[in-house]
Amino acid sequence: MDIQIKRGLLEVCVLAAVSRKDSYGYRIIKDIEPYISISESTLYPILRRLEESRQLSVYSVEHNGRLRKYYAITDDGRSRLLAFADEWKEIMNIYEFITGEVTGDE
Amino acid sequence: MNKNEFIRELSERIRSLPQKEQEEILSFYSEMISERMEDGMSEQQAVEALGSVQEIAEGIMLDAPLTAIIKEKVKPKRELRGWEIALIIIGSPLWISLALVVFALVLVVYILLWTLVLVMWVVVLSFGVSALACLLASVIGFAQSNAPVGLALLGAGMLLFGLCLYFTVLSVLSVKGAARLSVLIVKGIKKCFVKSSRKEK
Repeated sequence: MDIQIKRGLLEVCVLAAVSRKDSYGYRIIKDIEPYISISESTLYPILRRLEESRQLSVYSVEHNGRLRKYYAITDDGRSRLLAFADEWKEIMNIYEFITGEVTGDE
Repeated sequence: MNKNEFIRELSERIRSLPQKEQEEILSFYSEMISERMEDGMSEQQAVEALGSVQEIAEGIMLDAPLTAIIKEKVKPKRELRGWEIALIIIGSPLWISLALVVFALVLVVYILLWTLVLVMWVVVLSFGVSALACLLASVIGFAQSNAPVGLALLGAGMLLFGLCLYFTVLSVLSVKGAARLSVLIVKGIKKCFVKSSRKEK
């Protein structure tokens, strides 16, 4: 996938992965993986960015004698998800325009 | 490579970052290794699944501020010997001036870039002001029942206003372009440092 498109999508995917239930790093990766490939080194800066822009909040929970970081979506994060869902209609129009060009039917 | 080795090597490579950030990065990766092991992987496999330490560290450093990268690059790998320190001091008139030249060149590129943007906005402003003046003058023209002059000034005012709008669009685009170019320049400089340190090892 085009790297610019992927970068934008990944942020939204991470938000979506924590939107229903608070989640932690490894589970976010496992939840997203079937749809879009993501590694730890890509996830880390995304989590940082989302945390800094207050779209995610972070807390630690003890688990098996160590701390596990949990991420929760904030109101800002939710409105970002909604905004993305709205934009998707526009993207579908663009998709039709592009595939129309490829197959050549007018 | 086991977990401790991985964490030690990673911390070695990101030492120039702020303390708090180092700790966060290390705890993130150590958590990831623990999770994979609880998921049934061996320690070895869990570390391997993360990919190479070098690439991870490089990615982190490319995201880091330029000053941290230069600090990491300039920092000597071992204690300097007496004659090396002497050489650095004796050579300082040369390398300091060279460094200043490089710095000045980068600064000039920046200033030029943003001067262009400034010029665009000055053009917008001058069109805007003259459009306003023409429209005002045309009102006066009409008020003095000098219709031809009033009409001519009204036309000129509209034309200037249109040009003003047109250049506003261009100026906004130029600000965006200049900002993107600035980011690219900083990224380029960072890449020089991060990549060249890779070749050394």
